[in-house]
Amino acid sequence: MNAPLKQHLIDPEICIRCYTCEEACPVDAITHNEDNVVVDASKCDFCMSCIAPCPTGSIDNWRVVLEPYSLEEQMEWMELPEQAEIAKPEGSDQDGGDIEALEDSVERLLAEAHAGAGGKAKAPATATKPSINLYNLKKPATATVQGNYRLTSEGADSDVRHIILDLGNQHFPVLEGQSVGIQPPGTDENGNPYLPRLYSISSPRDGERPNTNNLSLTVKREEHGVCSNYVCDLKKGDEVKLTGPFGATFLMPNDPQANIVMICTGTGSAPFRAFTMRRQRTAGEGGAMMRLFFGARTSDALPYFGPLKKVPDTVLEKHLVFSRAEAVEKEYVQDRMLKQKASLAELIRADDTHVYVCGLKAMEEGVEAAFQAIADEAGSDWHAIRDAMRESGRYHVETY
Amino acid sequence: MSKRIDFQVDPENYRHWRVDYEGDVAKLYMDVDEKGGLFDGYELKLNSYDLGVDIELSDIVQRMRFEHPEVKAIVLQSGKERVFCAGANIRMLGGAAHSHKVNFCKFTNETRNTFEAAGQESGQHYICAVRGACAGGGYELALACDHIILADDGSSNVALPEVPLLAVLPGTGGLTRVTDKRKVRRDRADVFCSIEEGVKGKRAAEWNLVDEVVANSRFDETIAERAKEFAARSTRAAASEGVKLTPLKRTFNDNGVTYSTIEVDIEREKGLVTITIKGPDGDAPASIDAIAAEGADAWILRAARELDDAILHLRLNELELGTWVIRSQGDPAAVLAHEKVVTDNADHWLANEILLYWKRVLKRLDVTSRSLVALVEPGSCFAGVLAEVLFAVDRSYMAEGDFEGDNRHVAAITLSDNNFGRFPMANDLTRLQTRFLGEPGKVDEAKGRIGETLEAYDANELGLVTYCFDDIDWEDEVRIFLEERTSFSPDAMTGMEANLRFPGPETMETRIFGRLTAWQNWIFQRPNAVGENGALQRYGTGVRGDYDMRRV
Amino acid sequence: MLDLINVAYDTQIPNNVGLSSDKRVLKALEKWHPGYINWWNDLGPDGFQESLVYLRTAVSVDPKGWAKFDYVKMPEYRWGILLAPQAEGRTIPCGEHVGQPAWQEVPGEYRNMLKRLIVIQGDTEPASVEQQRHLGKTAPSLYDMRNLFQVNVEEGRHLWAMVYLLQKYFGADGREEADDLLRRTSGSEEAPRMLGAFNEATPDWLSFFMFTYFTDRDGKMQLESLAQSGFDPLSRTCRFMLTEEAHHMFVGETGVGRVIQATCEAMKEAGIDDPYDIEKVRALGVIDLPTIQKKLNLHYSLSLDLFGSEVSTNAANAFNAGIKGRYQEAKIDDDHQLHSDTYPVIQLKDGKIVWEDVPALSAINMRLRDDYVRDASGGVKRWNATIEKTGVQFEMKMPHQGFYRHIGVFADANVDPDGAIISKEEWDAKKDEWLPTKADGDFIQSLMKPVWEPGKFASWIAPPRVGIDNKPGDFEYVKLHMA
Repeated sequence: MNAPLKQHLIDPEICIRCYTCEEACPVDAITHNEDNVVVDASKCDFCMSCIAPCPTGSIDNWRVVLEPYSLEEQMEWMELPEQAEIAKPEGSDQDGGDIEALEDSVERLLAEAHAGAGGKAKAPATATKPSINLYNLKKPATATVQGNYRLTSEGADSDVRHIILDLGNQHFPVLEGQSVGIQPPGTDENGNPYLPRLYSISSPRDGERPNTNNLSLTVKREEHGVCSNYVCDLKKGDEVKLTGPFGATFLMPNDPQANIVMICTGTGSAPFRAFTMRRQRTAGEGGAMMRLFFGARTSDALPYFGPLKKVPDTVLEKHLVFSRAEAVEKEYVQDRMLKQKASLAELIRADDTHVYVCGLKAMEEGVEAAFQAIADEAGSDWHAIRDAMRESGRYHVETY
Repeated sequence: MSKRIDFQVDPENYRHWRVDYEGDVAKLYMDVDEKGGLFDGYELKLNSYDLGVDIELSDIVQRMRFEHPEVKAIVLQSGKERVFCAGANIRMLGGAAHSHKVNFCKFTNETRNTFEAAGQESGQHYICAVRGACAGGGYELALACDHIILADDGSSNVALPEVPLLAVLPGTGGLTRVTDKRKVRRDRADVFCSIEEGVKGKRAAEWNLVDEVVANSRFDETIAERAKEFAARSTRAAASEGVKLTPLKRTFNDNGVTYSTIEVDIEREKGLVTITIKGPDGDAPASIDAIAAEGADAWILRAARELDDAILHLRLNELELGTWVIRSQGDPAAVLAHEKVVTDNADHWLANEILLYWKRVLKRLDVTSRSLVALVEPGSCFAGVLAEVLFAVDRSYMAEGDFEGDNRHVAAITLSDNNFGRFPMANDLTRLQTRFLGEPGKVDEAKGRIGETLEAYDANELGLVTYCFDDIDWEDEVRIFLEERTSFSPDAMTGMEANLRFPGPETMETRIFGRLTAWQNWIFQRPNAVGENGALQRYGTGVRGDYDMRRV
Repeated sequence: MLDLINVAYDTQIPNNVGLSSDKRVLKALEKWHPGYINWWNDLGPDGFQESLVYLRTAVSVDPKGWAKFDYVKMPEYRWGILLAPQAEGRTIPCGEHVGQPAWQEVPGEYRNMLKRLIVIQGDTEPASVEQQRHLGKTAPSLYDMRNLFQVNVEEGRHLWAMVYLLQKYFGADGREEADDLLRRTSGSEEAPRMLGAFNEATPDWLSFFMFTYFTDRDGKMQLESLAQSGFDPLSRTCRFMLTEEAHHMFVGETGVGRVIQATCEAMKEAGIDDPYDIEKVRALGVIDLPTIQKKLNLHYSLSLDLFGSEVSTNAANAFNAGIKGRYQEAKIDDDHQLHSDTYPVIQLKDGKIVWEDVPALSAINMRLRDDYVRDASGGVKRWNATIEKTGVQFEMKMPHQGFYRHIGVFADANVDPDGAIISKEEWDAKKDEWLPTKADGDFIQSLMKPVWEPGKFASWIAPPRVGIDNKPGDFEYVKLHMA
């Protein structure tokens, strides 16, 4: 039996046949007949070039399949087929790219989050094989809230919370960098259930404390966010429906000597908390030094500011930068990266360096520009470096 | 083109024009019926015109003068949205024979001249109000008006795109009026005539391509103001009621046409046509009011209309009749008596119009590309206005003395005052002045003989006829001459005659009929325009003309 | 090296054409700019110039860069000059110069023809903004309002694109034409827009959706054929404009589709099976299907008129000159010159509709119109799928191409929607069954009440299936600023 693979598809009920995607596709994977616009699974390399130009959003559909839908099949569709039930995938290192989730909506969210890497996301070579989709909307896991702590000071204008969820006896294996889905209860005014939201796990695989079957999340309260308010308002003892785990690429290498560069803002720090704790638990102070570039408006608003300070510098080189701190010139992560250009230039040339970028979409551009400048100055080609790193599972972007 | 083109139209059945009469102002709307082309194979889109459209216009202009003497200003406008007039229909031109093109242009030129002159000579001023595209022949229509108003709406324009678009000239007076009438600087004229999209807005006024450019919102208001001003300025004599131009009575048959005052006899195998003008058979009307009462039946008006129609009919429909023999029969004294009633009342609007009409008919004869021959025979009545025909033709032959067995009066010519200034030619000289360009004394000599019955000897002495032959020679000489004449190349004849007819000074009119028309007709023959790969032939196919780049 | 992908912001005018080093054109554009802003403020969306609208702005012309979404006040939208990347070694795709290198400068002999094409195209862009300026006030949702404004700002950008070409390549004349594009105004007495359809008001949202579906699709087809121009800057401009134009198609197709869906769902819920029970259907606060069909009839036939005469000299000239191609010229398998080809053209002969083969070159308009009809029929098919899914028995149809035409062979004929030629009397008797009446318009107008709460939609239109930029249903697409 073939291993499952991810297939990019177009929803014929939403598509208006403007063929803009066809023009945008650099590898001519998209064609059309009188009826439908279709994607050739053997050509599509998930470059995402077609996503932004599509005026309808119909292009942003994904299915996990054992046998890809042929062009002929797609051309006859009146509507997009449902995601078929597929057994938990075994290995997933085939050409179709790593399968991050078996649910279309989650797959789409992750595909979008990972698009900033500039191509098909791959897991690090030495990463543990993740489990995905053990729980879905039809069959969610139930977790109990073990604690809900505000991470930012009361005076800060952002409310970021650390939430610990106890999974009791349920088998819910997670890896650092993976996410879980939470669907807020109730329906929207059109009577449809709310879409699930994904949250990165901020605890390592063996729990908040070693060998506890729980996990933690780092959630920021959004003004009108239905889900974030739901999660931030959870009280100890409340029950939460969880789906997942999701994500099969934004994972850390098992090799304790691998260099890890982590760049984040806000709640983008969640996976890096997990990474750092994992490294500490497995290698103590004997692993390679990790580097963290972490941006926030002020130290008040920087999640985990206190605990981070306590991590020894030999384990983690910390660059906490603030864009609104009093008496300090404003600084963004890319500014600090440029100040560290000598070491970063060397790091990106090394073939055991893993780079992770996590945070708001807006940060991508600055980070990209900083790497570009660093590489340029060192006389190397950033795009080539980045593409090579990504191909070998060493460059990861997860932005939202 | 086997069907006969008729120059008589019934105003009830205009297909392309509409006129609203509002006191001393008439609103003339061009609203061409796309499907109303004279021939098959083209549609008159965008207010483009063919001969049929122009025949109606000519009719309107004519009736305006006779049937609507109260009108002093005419506003020419488009009846269509967003287009004034796209000019002559190109597909029609592309499909037409050379001869038709030439005749078409000639007729349209004559019509333009007629309404252009109407302001000056008869106090009917044409004002052109342009909104929408006004290109080629459309702008030539405007150019012939006394005043051009252009809407300043960002898209209305005037243009002469013939050169860049069709590789021909704006041949209906366009080039000439731009320089001679509107006196546009020649380098600007050069620019204007080589850009397809023409000129719009303020620049059109700056360059004097139009008289004024007005905001769209003030367009109608300005038209009304100008019409009022021109009407106030008009020198037109007061008139109460017009004269209805009733349908001509005519019968067509294989060998000719019979009118009440004109007989057209065709000898097809000889390439000859004889036009006989019949003098009045009744007494002259007692007064100009009597003429007005008779209206279109008055001989002096009727004869002009019929002769005009005969000329046009023969010009357009009988191309192979290359020689026209013009005769007359009747009482010369009666002709003079009829003529005198109008001449004596020349400041009466109707008398003025009748005289002007004769002027135009005679000019039409001048520019007719046929060998014109007059025969002054026993019983003829070449007197006054009819004598003028003798000075329009290329040659005249006069019978001398009595003819055996012929009891008609001896052939004679009688001059009147009208032969000395009433009917100037295009060159602004009288026909006699033109005839005696080298010996001006002869004009005075002839003038001294006004009213005398001039028989062959005197006529010959005065230089009024080419040859005189008596009873014995007449028939043979005339026959031999006609046989010789009809054997010559028609092209050479046309060229020779056109050159010999207009000696003397140039006027805008002679430049239009001479220089501009000649160049245009040359271009109409050239492969660059009309060859299989020429611009005119290729127009509409999307393929450009393929030019032979050698200058000639 | 000039960066021809990313938009430079080193001048007041975002661009990827190296404007900062082209002082002449920069100066001309900077001179034109205040007039444009005045135009936008005076004739752009009425009452929402201060609102924050969630718009996409292009920051580069590669697919990744031209859909950056953010809140922006419309007058501050970064209109700019964006050309699709130059294709290496591009050749003239059609006409007598086929195969020669594409022109990078205006060929003198075609200067006027090119200028005219650009001016006509340019004139339609601001026209639709003017036509739609009052619609914001009756938006059925913030989502729809945002889509309207997106269409508007992009039409504005398309005007910029055409103005750039005029100012860059057509000297003083071009600058004058650029000024006139701001001087003419839709429906103005003083200086109306050049094409008839662009001087009609867009009175309600269904008209807007129909307009964007049918009339903007004409614009799309025109852009498609200009994108095939041998004049490379025009081709590149239009190629980029087409990606934006797709959004307009989307607004139209989904807009009409959602109106239909709301109607069908309301009918089902109320247990009404007969779509012609108009009174009952209207009582549900939705637009009955027969009225939607009438609007379709109207907008479709008005849009067909925009293609001009079936047989056209201008179109033939432009094709042969290589300055305007056919739809997807590059994908057509022929000699691209059409010297001896023919094309069937619909004709009216002796009161009968017949097809006649004419030289293909002269039938360029007809061919483009045929392509348009095919393109437009796709959406109608999908609307019908929507109806069918709800179980309502009704089918939307595009009327015969002779129906209610004002230009071309059918201009003077009375043709019913099925293509039968009928008498004037019959037409007068039946036309209210086929075209919207004043009463229909009044009814639609009565539904045009603003719904401005995030996530809420007017009764007569269904919510979209997917949000813009994948935003959730209750996303606040426009942050209103009500003074």
